[in-house]
This record gives sequence, structure tokens and C-alpha cells, in this order.
Amino acid sequence: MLRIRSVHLCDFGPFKGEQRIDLPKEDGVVIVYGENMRGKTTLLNAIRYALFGRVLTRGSVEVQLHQLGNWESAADGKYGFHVVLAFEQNGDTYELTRECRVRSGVSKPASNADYIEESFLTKNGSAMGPQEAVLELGRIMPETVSRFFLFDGELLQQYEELLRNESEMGRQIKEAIERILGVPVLTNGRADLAQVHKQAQHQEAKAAQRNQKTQQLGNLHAELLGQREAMQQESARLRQDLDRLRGTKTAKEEQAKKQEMLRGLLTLRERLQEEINSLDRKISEKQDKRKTLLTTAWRSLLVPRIKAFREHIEEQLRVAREETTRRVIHAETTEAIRKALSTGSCSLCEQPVAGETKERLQNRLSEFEGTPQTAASDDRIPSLERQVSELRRYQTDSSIAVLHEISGAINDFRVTKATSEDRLRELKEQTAGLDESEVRRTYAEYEKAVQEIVIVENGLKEHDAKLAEIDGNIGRIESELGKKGGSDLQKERKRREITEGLRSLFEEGVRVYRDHLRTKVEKDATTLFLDLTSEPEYASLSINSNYGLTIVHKDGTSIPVRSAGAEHVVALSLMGSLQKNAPLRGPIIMDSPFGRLDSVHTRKVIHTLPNMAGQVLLFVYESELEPKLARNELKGALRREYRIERQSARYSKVEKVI
Amino acid sequence: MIDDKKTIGLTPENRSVMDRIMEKEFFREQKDAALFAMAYAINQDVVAGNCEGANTIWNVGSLDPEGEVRSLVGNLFPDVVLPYRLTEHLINAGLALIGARMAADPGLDLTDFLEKEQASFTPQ
Repeated sequence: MLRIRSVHLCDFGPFKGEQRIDLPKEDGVVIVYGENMRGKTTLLNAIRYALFGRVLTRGSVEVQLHQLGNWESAADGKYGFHVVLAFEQNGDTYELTRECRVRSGVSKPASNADYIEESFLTKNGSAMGPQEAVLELGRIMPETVSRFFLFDGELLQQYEELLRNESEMGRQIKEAIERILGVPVLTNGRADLAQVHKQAQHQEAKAAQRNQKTQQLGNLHAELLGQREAMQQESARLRQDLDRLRGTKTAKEEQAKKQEMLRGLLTLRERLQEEINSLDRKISEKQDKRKTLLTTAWRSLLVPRIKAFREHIEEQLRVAREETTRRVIHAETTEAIRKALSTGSCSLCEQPVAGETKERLQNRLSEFEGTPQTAASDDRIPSLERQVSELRRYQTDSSIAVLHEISGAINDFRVTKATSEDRLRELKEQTAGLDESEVRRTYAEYEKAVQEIVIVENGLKEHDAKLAEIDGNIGRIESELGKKGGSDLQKERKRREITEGLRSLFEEGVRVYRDHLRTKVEKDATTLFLDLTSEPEYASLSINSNYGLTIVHKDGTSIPVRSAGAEHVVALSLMGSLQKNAPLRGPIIMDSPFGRLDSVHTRKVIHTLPNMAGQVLLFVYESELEPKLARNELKGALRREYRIERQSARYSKVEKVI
Repeated sequence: MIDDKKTIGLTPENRSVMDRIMEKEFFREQKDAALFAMAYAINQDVVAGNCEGANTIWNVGSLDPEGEVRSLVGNLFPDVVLPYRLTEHLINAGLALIGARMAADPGLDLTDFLEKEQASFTPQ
């Protein structure tokens, strides 16, 4: 088991001059306190730098060597830095020095090219050769699994990617998990045996070709083996392409994440522009409708006046018609009286007209003849009727309500448009100096990689199907050959059957081992999780084929969405479980691990830490983990405390507290 | 006997009012706005008269293809013998009135205008 004994820094980051952290030999926890910007992450990076020769930012971008030195020392004309890591592994003691110094002749370095980097490894006091040192370090702490030993609390949420089948990040983490769990021991063996089996098949084909009886089958066998070889080479090429494309996809995904804010602004800008265009179209449509309605607006405006005027004319028409009726009745009555008086009989009632009646009728006739009737109204009626008819033409439905609705809608659209235009103006100012084309290019390249991945994956599927077909044909020929041939062929066949059996055994071994590991990881992660979580209704964690963990409620249902805090607790459970099940054991070194946790979970994690690994080194700030709480919870398991003290903005000092 | 007008025009001042109205995107064609102005003038009891200094804009055939404007003016103003001359006068007078209202209230909505005019009419 790897155990770090000391970290010695010189002019690394804010750690000016020589500084040192000693870690005790016994199991337990060491805590380094430091407020923000004092250098906690730099300490983690110093260990990373010593082991792997490089430092990555949280966005996985490699930090330039030139930027790693202490700025105050550089201001004093002292450039370069070094880190010395002392550690033990299986009873051997090691001292690893990695140094970065200025090339001779360079007075003021400006880039990586102005530095020389060197590293030295001693084992039990004896210096190792450079190649030997690289191999030894790769065996003690491979960089590919370092994420499970040296980690940044802020990045724990990456483990959620294991729950997403299509995630490239998830695939990478899964590979790292299998590596730390030792799966490659079996998968490499399986690959080697597949190669040996292939050779045995070729040998069998050659033996068959040498025998006259089996020559034809042997030729066919050799041809199919050749075809398979070519197909396998093509498959390997496609898989390489797929890896490259996945790498591109991941890189573009990372790049896109960094550009996310800018892309968000650009998307919003496009959306606002579309919104404004759509509002323009709506305004234009409404205006067009209003224009159609306003074509007859002049009539609408005059409706009350024309109606009143028409009613006035209609009254005149009514009076004129009454006058005409009266005149006609007057004339007809006068004529009837005259006739009755002259004939002595009434034509209407057929009664004789004489005496008193005759006298009364004569008086009435005199009255009628004394009141002459004019036909003036008769002349006016046609013109009045024409006027009324004409005025009726101007009757129109009032469209005021519709016009009002349209104008209201136009005003609303204009207000919305003005607001969008204001926002768009602001966004244009915000994005004025930014390179939009790069963002669009990144996104386009990402999309292209995704499309190409689908194409290559489909190609691989087809390829694998063809390979399976060829394998089937090879199997049939081998079976045919099994029935024929001499001792030479039988010997080769036996060899082929043994290698095939071994390959199948390893194949099955990989499957069984993976299932076994998943079961163990799930079990141990559940135990840790139940110790860490404060939610009593959570019953267990369930593992998927990618080692992604899902929280299971006591009623048996899965918890589909979890908070950042819960994600953190699940990730820590996975870490602890991997530590427990990995053949490779080492320290857990965590930077800001409690930032997302409440006080209950912080207490529980602190309490559980000594069970997760033999050596635990924490870099925390006090409000994240109060020293008193750590001391109470850890008691004897807390081996040492350090504090990073500020000397200046560019100078921090590590001091031992207990 | 004096012949009625064959063309209808606007004074330069009213031409500018017309441009301002058209900018507001209420009317599809200027003649729609002109007739609107005429109706407004009638509603405002503008007295019959002549318009001086108007430059030709429309032929009466295009302004009033069905003759309904002439008929209406003839009906509402029975004493007038030259209805298109009066129409020109009413259009210009109406535009002058609308122009004054627009100057006082630049955000004037002609839809509101329509409603207020109808509501305020009292038969005499």
C-alpha cells in the first residue's frame, strides 16, 4: 500500500522558498486548513506534479510550467521550482524529486521552452535509472487511476456520468474503475490467448493444406482465416477511429462547456431576434387586417349621421305618402257623393239618396269642394324613395370592436418587441468582443463528431456481424477437419482446441470477475452510503453495468434525481468502496470535499473517513470543516493539523498546528 | 353652368398630413385616408366651401369608382350642385383637422378616433 511520508515544496505556486508537510506513519487523517486563494489546490497539484509531471485545471486543461513557480521569487529574479515526495510502498521507501529550472542563458523565462524539467527517483536510498523510475512509478501509482486517490471535491459530480450510458466521460471513468479494480489483468490475458488461439488456427490450416485429403478444406480454412485477419484489422482501425472520434467529442464537449455561457448568450440572442421577427410578422398581419377594415372606415364614421339623415328622409316620405293617400280618398269620396246625388242611389251601400240624406250629402260635397287637394306630395315621393334607397347603401356593420382588438394586439406586440429589442441591444453589447464563430465551430465540430461516431458504430456492428459469420464458417470447416486428417493435423487441432478452451475460460472469467466486482462494490458502497446519508428512508445503492450507483428507497423504488449533496455522498461511497476492493491501495487526498455538504453529512463523512483508506489527507477551509468538529469526530484518528498562513497575496506558508 | 371637378387634390400642408397618417400604417391607400378625412369633416359640421391651392392627386373615377361619394355628398348637402368640389374641400378640411389633432397628440390612434367620433354624434 502506498503511503506518503512527506511533501517538500520549493517556490511552487504561492509556497515561496522551502516548505514541508510531514505525514505520520500511522493510519489516520491529516488536515490542512487554508482559506480560499491560500494554496490548498496547489498542494494537491504539487503531489500530482511530482507523480505525473503535469498539473491540470478543473477543466482538465494542462497548466503551463511557466505559471507554476512562485511569483514573489520570480519578481526577485529567482525562477524555477521543485517538489520532493517521500513515500513508502510495500516496505520500500522512495523519494521522488521533480524539478523545473531555467535553461542556462535565459535570464527572464517567458514560456515552457525556457525551462528544463528533470525528475529523480530513489528506492531505499539508491537512485533508479530514468526508464526504471518511470516503470516503477507507473506500477506504484498509474496516472489513469489517480482520480481515485487524488481528487477535487468539486469534481465529484462527474461520477453521475456513470449513470448515463451514452456519456463519454462515463466511459472514461468506467475504464479507470476497471483498471483500479484489476480487470485488465484478465482482459489482457484474454487478448493474449485470443492471439495464441489465432496462431493455432493458422497452424491447423497449414497442416490441413499439407495433407492431400484435407488440402481443399485447408485452403478454404486458410482463406477464411486470412479474411478474418483482414476484417479484424479493419475492425481495429474502426475502433481506433471510434476512440479518436470519442476523444474529439469529449474535447469539444469540454470546450463547449467552457463556452457554455457565451453559447447561452448567443442562443438567447438568436431567440430574441427570431422573437422580434415573429412579432414584426404578427404586427404586419394585424396591420393588414386593420387596413382592410379601415377601407370602409369613412362609412363607419358617418353611420350615425347617415342613419339620422335617412330617418329624417323616411319621415318626410311617410308624411308625403299620407298626404297622397288623403288626397286619393278625398277625390274618390267627392266623386262617389256626386254620383249618388246625380243617380239618387248610393253605389256603395245601394240605398236610395233622398230627403235628409241628400241634403247632408250636398253639404258634405260643398265642404269637400271647398278644400282643394294638391298633388305636390306625389311628385316628392319617388325622389324621397330614391334618397332612402341610396342612403341605405351606406349602412355598414360597425367594425369598431374588431378594430379595437386589432389595435390593442398591435400595441401589445409593439411593447413586447420593444422589450425584446432592449434585451437584444444589451446582449449585443455583452457579446460584442466575443468570438461567435469559434463557439459555433466548436458546436458544429461536436455535432460532426457525434454523427461520425454513429456512422462508425454502425459500421462496426456490420463488421462484427460479418466477423461472426466468418467465425461460424471457420468453425464448420474446423469441425469438418476434425473428422479427417492424419496425426499431424490432429496434433494441431488439439493445440487449437486447448487455446480455444483457454480463451473461452478467460472470456468467462472476465464476465464472472466483473459481476463479482460489481456485487462487491455495490455492497461496500451501500454500507458506506448508509453510514454517510442522513436520510433514514434510503435503503441501499444499486449498481449498473458502468459502476454507476442509484439510490434505492426502502420501498424498492429508485431515486431518479438527486441533489449535488447527495451526488457527493454517493461519489464518496463509490470511492471508499473502490479503495476497499482495489488490488492497488493508497492514500485518499481530497481538496474541498465538504463544500456541498451540510453539517450532518460533513460530520458523518468525517466520522467515516478513517474507514475509507489507511491514509487520508484533507485540504479544507474552516467554514467547510470546523477544527473543533474534526477533532471531536476523529479523536485519535486525527494525526496532524497544518494551517496555510497568508504572508502576502503571492506568498503562503504551511505551519504545523498539532 | 360650371362643371364639377374631374380631379381631387390636396394642399401642400395636407399632403404632409397625409404622409404622417400613412406612416402610422392605418390605411392601405391614400384614398382610404382621404375619405376618412372627408367623413371626419362632415361629422365636424364643416361648412360647404371650396378648396384653394390643391394639387391633383386622384382622378374622381379612381377615388369614387361607384359614385357613392358623389351620391352621399349630394344627399347630405342637397343645395350643393358640384359634389366633387365639395368633396375636395371636405377632404382637405378633414385632413387639416386630423393634422392638428395629431400635432397635439403624436400617439393618436385612429381607431380610438373612430369610436369617439361615433359616440359623440348628436342628430340635429
